[in-house]
Order: sequence, then C-alpha cells, then structure tokens
Amino acid sequence: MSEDYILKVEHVRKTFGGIVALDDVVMGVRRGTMTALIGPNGSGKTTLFNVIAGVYKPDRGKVYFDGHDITGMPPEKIYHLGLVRTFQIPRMFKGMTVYENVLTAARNNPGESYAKSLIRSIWKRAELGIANKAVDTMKLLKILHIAKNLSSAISGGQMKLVELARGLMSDPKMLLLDEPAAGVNPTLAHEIFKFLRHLRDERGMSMLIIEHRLDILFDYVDYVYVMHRGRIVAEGTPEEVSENPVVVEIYLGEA
Amino acid sequence: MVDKTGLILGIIVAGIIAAFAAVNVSYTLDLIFFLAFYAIAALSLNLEYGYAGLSNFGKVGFIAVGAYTAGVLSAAYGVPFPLCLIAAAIAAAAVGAFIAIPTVKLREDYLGMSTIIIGEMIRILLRNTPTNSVWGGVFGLRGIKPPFDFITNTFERTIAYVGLSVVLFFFTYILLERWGNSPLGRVLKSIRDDELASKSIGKFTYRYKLLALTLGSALAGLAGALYAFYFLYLNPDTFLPLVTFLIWVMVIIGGMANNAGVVLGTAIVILINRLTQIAKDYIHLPLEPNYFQAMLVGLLIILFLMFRPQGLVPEKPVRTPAWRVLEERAPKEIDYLKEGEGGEENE
Amino acid sequence: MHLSSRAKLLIGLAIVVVLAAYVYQALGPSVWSKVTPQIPQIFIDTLLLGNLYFLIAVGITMTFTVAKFANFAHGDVATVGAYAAYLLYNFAVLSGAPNGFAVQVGLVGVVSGIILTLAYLKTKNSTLMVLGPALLVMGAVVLFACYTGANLWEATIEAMLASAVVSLLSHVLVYKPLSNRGASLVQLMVASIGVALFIRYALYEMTWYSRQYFKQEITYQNFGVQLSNFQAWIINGTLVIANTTASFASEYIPAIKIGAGGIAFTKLNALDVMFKFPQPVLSFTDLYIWSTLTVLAVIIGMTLLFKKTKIGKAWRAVANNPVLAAACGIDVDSVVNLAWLVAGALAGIGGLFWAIQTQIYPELGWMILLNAFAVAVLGGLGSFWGTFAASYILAFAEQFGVSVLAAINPQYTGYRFMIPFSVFLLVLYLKPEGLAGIKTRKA
Ligand SMILES: Nc1ncnc2c1ncn2[C@@H]1O[C@H](COP(=O)(O)OP(=O)(O)O)[C@@H](O)[C@H]1O
Ligand SMILES: [Mg+2]
Repeated sequence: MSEDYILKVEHVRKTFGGIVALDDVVMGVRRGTMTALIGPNGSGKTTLFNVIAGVYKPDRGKVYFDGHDITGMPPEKIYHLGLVRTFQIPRMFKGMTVYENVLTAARNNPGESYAKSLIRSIWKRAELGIANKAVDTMKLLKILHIAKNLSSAISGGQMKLVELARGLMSDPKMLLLDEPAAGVNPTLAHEIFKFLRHLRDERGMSMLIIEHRLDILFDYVDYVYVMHRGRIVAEGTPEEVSENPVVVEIYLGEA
Repeated sequence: MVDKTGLILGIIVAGIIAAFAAVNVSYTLDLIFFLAFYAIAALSLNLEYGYAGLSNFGKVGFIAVGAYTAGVLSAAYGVPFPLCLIAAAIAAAAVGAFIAIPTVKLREDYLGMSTIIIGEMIRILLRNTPTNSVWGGVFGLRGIKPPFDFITNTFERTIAYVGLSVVLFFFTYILLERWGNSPLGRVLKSIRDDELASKSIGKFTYRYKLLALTLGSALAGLAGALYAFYFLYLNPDTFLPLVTFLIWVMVIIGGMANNAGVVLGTAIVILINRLTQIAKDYIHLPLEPNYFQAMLVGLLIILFLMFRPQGLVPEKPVRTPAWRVLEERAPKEIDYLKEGEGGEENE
Repeated sequence: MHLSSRAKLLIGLAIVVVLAAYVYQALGPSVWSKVTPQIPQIFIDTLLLGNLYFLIAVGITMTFTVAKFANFAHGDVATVGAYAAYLLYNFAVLSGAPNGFAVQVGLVGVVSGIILTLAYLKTKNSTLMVLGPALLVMGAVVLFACYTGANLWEATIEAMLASAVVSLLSHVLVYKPLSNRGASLVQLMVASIGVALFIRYALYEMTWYSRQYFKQEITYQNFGVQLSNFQAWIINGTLVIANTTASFASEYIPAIKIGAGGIAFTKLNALDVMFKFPQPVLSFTDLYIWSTLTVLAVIIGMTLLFKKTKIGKAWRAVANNPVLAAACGIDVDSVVNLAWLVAGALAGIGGLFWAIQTQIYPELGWMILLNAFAVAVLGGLGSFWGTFAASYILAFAEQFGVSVLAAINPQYTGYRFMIPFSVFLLVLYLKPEGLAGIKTRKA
C-alpha cells in the first residue's frame, strides 16, 4: 500500500440478505485530492460510505485510513482518526438549533464529560474557542443567519450545509461527502464545490465525494471512480472517465 | 428566559400550595415532601429520557432499591442516616448500570422492556423475602431509625426532614441544570435526536447512555431513601409500575429536557392527585376516583404525545457562553446576505 | 476488552454450565430424588404454559414486525378478551332468564355494528370494514347467548372479537396518528403504556361498578368452566389415560390404552382407579388439549397465510419495507390493520385460556405481558419461529425451576416469576439478538 493514499478500500464485499450491495470493491483516495464516486442510484455508493465510516461491517475485505486498519471500527473511533462523513439524507439533531448542531460537532470539548461539565471554569475557554470556530464555519458556509433556527425548521439545502459545517468543526484529515450539493441550485452547488476546493488547497484536506451532477462535479475533482451494481467499473481523471464507453453506456442506460 | 405558560402555571401551583398551607400546615408539609420526592425522581427521568432519550420504564424499581437499601441498612445495622442515603444512591446506580450495560447498545425497545421487567422483578423479589427477616416480605420493612432523632419535638423533626428533602431536591435541580446547560447537555440531546449522527461526530454514545442511566438511577435511589426515612416503613406493593408511569406523565406534561418544566409537571400531577383525593369526600361520582385517576394518567400520556409532544414548557436551547459569542459576532458578520452571492472565494 | 460476540456467548454459556453443575451438586440427591419422578409432568406442563405464552407473545411479534415497536398494551388487550368471555359465559343468563343488561349490550352491539357496516359501504374505510361486522357479530353472539345459554365456543368468539377490536382501535386511534406525526419509537412505546393504563383501569373501574351497583364480585374469580381432569399411568408397559373427573359421577370411567398392541378404548372401574392405581405419571386437563390444538391451528394458519396467499406476501413486504410495499401497490393500511386484528384475536384466546387456567382479574394481561416480553426478546423480537421456540424454552425453564424450588422448600415457589426474568437477563447479556440471531449469523 502506497503512502500516497490516505484511504484504501481493498476487496470489500457487503451483502444485505440476498442483495449484493458491494462486490469486491477496490479503490483509494490520494492524500490531498478531491476524489469523486459516481454511479447510478442503488449502485452501492452510500453503502460503501457506510462501510468506510464504520456503520456497516464488510462481509469481506479491508479498509485502511491514514495507516490504520479501520475495518469494522465503530464510527466514533474513526472520527477521532480524522475521517468525518456527512449523510446523503441530512441527519439533524432536530431538537437543537443550527448553532448547537455545529457546536456539538467540535472535537475534544472538556465540558462534555459528566464530571467536568459541572464546573464551568474548566470548559469555558474551550467553549468560547469552539463558539468562535463555529461562527467562522457558519459564516464561510453562509448559514450564520439561521444559527438560531431549530435545525428541523430549515430547508433541505441548508441542512446539507449544516452537515458540512459539522464535518468541518473537527478539522478532519479527510471528508466523506454524500451528495453535498443535492437539492441546491446550480449557483450554490458551484459555490460549495469552490469552497471544497479551497479546503483542499488551503488546508490540504482529502475528500471523497458522491455527486450526481457530473457537469458540475467534473470541473473540480482530481480523480473519479465509477460504480455500477456494487462494483467499481471504471476510474480515471474526469476527462478519461467521461470518454470511457462503459461509463457512457451506464449513464445512457439509466436515462 | 421567561416562559409565559410555565410562569403562569407556576404561579397557580404556588398559589394552591400556599392555600393548603394556610388551611393545614402538616398536610402541606406532607405535600411538600411528596413534591420533593417526585420531583427528584422526575428530574432523574428527565436526565435519562428528556436529555439522553433512554426509555426507562422501571424507575420505580430503582426507587425501591434505594428505599430498601437505606431501610435495611438503618433497620438491621443501625447505619447512620447520611450514609444510608449515599449507599442507597450507589446501590441503585449499580442496578442501573447492570441493566444498562447489555441494553443501551441495542434498540430502544430492549431497554424499555428490560427496565420494566427489572422493576417488577425487584418488587416480586422483595415480596418474597422471608417475612421474619428484616426485609419483611409482604408485611413490609419496619424498624427504620428516624433521622434527626436529636430533635425531640416531632413536628419540628418533620419540618427538618421535609426541609432536607427540599434541599436535596434543589441539589438535584442544580445538578440537572448544570449538566443540561453545558456541552454535555448538547451531546446528550444529540444522542437522543440521532444516535448515528452523534457517533459520526465522534461521540462515544454508549458511554454517555450508560452513565445517564447509572446517574439517573442513583438519583432515583436517593429519592427512594428519602421515602424510606419519611415513612419509616416500606412495603413492596407501594412500588407498583403505576408509580413509574406517574413519573413519566410528569416529564411528558412538563416538557422533556426542560428541568423547570418537569418540576412544574410534577407539581401539576401531584396536585391533581391531591385534589381528587379531597374531591372524593365531597362529590359522589359513579366512579372509583383512584382507578379513574389512573385512566386519566393513561389518557394524558396519549393526548400530550399527540397534541403537545413538547409538553407545557418546551425545551430551550442549551445555555453556554457560546451564545454570547454568537450574539456579539453575528450582527457584524452576516454581511453575505447584503452583498449577494459569492464574495470571499479566491479563484 | 474486545470479545467477539461468539466468544462472549461461549464464555457465558460455560459459566452457566459450571453454575448449573454447582447448583446440581449443592442441592444434592434429596432434592433431585423429588424432582426426577416429576419430569414427565414437567414436560406436559411446559406444553400448556408454552402454548399460553405463545398465544400472547406471537401477537407482540406480529405487531412488532409491521409497526416496529414493542406494544406494552398487548397484555391488557388480552385481558379485555378474557373479561368479555367471562362476562358472557357467566352472566348472559341469570337464574334461568336472559340478563336484561346483557340484552341491552347485545342490542347496542348489533345496532352500532349495522351502522358502522353501512358507513363502511359508503366510505370504504378499511377500519370500518372490520369494525362494523365485528361489533355486529359480537352483539349477535351476546343476544344469542342470552336466550340459549352461553357456551365456551361463544365465549371464545367473544374473547377473540373483543380483543381484536380493541387492538385495532388502539392502532387506528393512537399509534397510527402518532407515527403519522413522526413520533419516535420511544414515544410510541410510551403511548402504548398510556393505552395499557387506560384499558386496565377501565376494567378496574368496571369491577368496582359491578361490585357497587350489581353487588357482583367479578375480580379474582375462577372462570367457571368445569375442566375435565385426565390422568395417565404406565401399567405393564401400556400407557393408560383416563378421564378421572368422571369418577365422581359414574361407576366406570372412559379410558384409552396405548401399548404395543395398539390403541384401545376401554372403561375402568372408578373405585379401582381411585384406590388401587399407583400415583399417576401425568395429570392434565382439557385446557392442555384445547391450547395445543389452538396453537397447532395458529401455526398451520399462519404458515398457509404466509406461504400460500397474496395477503401473506403483502404482509411480509410491508414488514420488510413499507415504503417499497406501498410503491408496489400494496394496500399497506389494510395489511397493518390485519396484523393488529390477528394479534388482538390471538391475545383474546390467550387471555381466555390464561383466565381459565388461573383467575380473572384486571391485572391478568399485565402479569402475562412481562413474561411474554421475555419470550419475545428470547425469540429475537420479530421472528415467528423464534417466538415459538422461545415460548416453550421459557415455559420449560419456569416449570423445571418451580419443581426444583418446590423440592428445596415449598415456600420458594413464590420466586417462580424470577425464572423467566432471569432467563431474559441472561439472554440480554449473552445473546441480545435472541434465538433468531442464531440462524442469521452464519457469515
Ligand atoms: N440497510 C440496508 N438493507 C438492505 N438493503 C440495503 C441497505 N442499504 C442499502 N441497501 C441496498 O443496497 C443497494 C445499494 O444502495 P445504496 O448504497 O444506497 O446506493 P446509492 O447510494 O449508490 O444510490 C441498494 O439496492 C439498496 O437497496
Ligand atoms: Mg446514495
């Protein structure tokens, strides 16, 4: 395994009852790149994310992140290694405001322990730092004006941004983004991708992105994997992939 | 932070209690004790259910563990009152942890079913203890040494004891408020709202839930010990599942994850209970009031869940210094709204 | 500490075995010599208790598969059926004449049944489709029983229908609107507790009312069905089973001999049976037979339903994925209604049998419910065959345990409730996914 890759997925298989959702998936993400994972609906992209992020244990195969074997590791531990994911269908903490949603996602807040939380002076400084960071992040993502709204009472596109903001709060080494720009207008979608590219360039963050709108996506990503019926059927740069007859057929067949 | 419904209802409740006090002081003391006892129990459920989303349907069992631990230690071994309180909390916490360890990582149903079974199991165990032992079986446990026995006047002693109960209630309330209005409060709510998302932002949800149930049980055990030393007599059949559901109604009516609301809910339920007891002597209904009250409990649960699931006093955002940061910075920094689309990108 | 779940199970089982061996050793021969001869009886008692557990627990499993939450009101639904049957059986005819009150109840049932049926014909509402005819039949049965005298068949119909109606109504009036409003799983469970309390204390209220206004005690009563008692002996290698209840009425009692030579019906001299026969190996009642036949009917019925009919396929589809099922044109509402209805009807029979076996009282269903939960969890929550197996495993544990407790000290039988609960806790620690998990874990 080359050091060059921050994420490696090796021969992963995952079945649900009789359905083979992932079949011998081999792929990887190079450090500091934006890599895309595309494929028709139901091809297994989200399932692959769930396997990487520790929601599902693969039936077979291995997942490595940043030199660690994370196969079957629970999501909370994977997070602490620096791999953070967002969900295709946003999962808000719906009893809390947007601001609290973002604050909660900070890493290592001392006030989160049962004992330390009782003494404000222990965690106040850290909390203020986290608060400033949360405001910065929300400002970058342009959701600061809805900070006080209940997170269940915002639009689907805004929820996607809150997910992204939560993901960024921990300064991860890598983000797994499941359709980060679904349900938002093309202008905003472009902005989101510009922002992600900015993260890559400025902070050296690696990303694996699922996205359906290839016209937008291909302007930004470095490398593309194409998934079909649980298998990786093609890979390459955006140019290579868009000229690959297999990919063209899959997408035409779908349409 | 003034909530209108809550405030008005609070004033009404306080007024009724004051009215009781004007008529009969010792009745009012009894009422205040029950308010303190149930409020501690309801707050402990609020920690488990209101904040962490855990369905503990065996609350009464943990109260019973606390009560009997304190009772047996006092009656059989003459352990001093304060130590009994501590031991009761520890014993109940241990039982809480015992049931939480296998269940909180499973679906919510398992915890609900397990806790209700544990609650009944404890009661049946207590019923079947030998009647000639200190436990007393169905005849109940007697011989608990009265606390504050250095006070000779029984009335003053009662006042002291009720006073202590109120102090412990305030202690519990402050504890819950501290937990609730800290980063911990946010983590617990995140687990309640979406456990997978909470794990995905690195929260060790299993540990948090385990501790919520353990600490909640400790508080329930404390309430149980208070009960034991108030009556100086314990009977297994006072710890019926109905008590658990009474506590649930308090939390549901009051408003989950809102400690003031839960206390208000406690007061309302207790007052309804007291008023029906009083009304029973004056009004003749073709109904048995105690049974009717239990039907009402069931009905209230359903109606509140349907029409006001947030309770009378809805949940508030978690108050931490973070809000001050937002208040200070947000007005200055929401410039992107005026500017239009996309300003800060460096292409 | 990282143990695989299989390692945990094995270590746990090893500890259990060691503990069992220790208990075996510690109790010593004085206890076991009392238990061993009872083993055939323990098995047949397990059959009865398992049947009774199954009839209640299978409903919990069914509603769990379609509604995805544990219904805490299921036990009380069973109590309603038991009470409906009890009241019909004992009070339809009072001192030889139709009970005026019962006649009124019957009439109300018939009239409201007709109205609701007509309303269904207008609205095509799938709830009314069930509710109208059910009330109509219930009312008609009551009226019929008032004039001809109630028998157990009518009581059974009444029990099934009453429980089925209550079960369906609880779904339509409470759980369905709640889940449509996006209630969480915990909220649904809490709501079912609300329903349970309401039903249970309404029954309490009814018993109070009866005491107050009819001067009739209807709680902690025997059901009033005369059960026949059968006893079995092994005499010279042949199994002899006789209906000993008859020995008080006549000189000869009917018996069956089953041996190497085949099966023969004979008559035995009652006095011989009473005084000359040894201790019977087994003794059982009608209820053992009825409950076994009922369980067989349920299993065959459910198997046919699931394997052979469209309804069964639809049910499975809804259980797997309601959204997908709806997209495939399945009438999800009706299927879910059906599940609640069947679960209720079985609870009704279960409640009736429990009442016959023990007594009738408003807490009846609640007392069974906790055991039934233990069964459902052991069965893997949502698995039909898991529930079936778990019913008998828990029943055996309980019957065997009670015999041991009784052999140590008859006073200890009060701890019998602890047995299924302890098994339940053990399952939670060792194998939380229950019996159903054993089959699916074959990776
Ligand atoms: N939890 C699950 N249980 C059963 N089947 C699942 C589950 N999750 C995903 N699947 C199946 O796996 C396949 C891949 O789904 P998914 O990963 O969501 O696809 P994509 O994200 O590419 O649209 C689909 O056929 C889906 O039905
Ligand atoms: Mg997907």
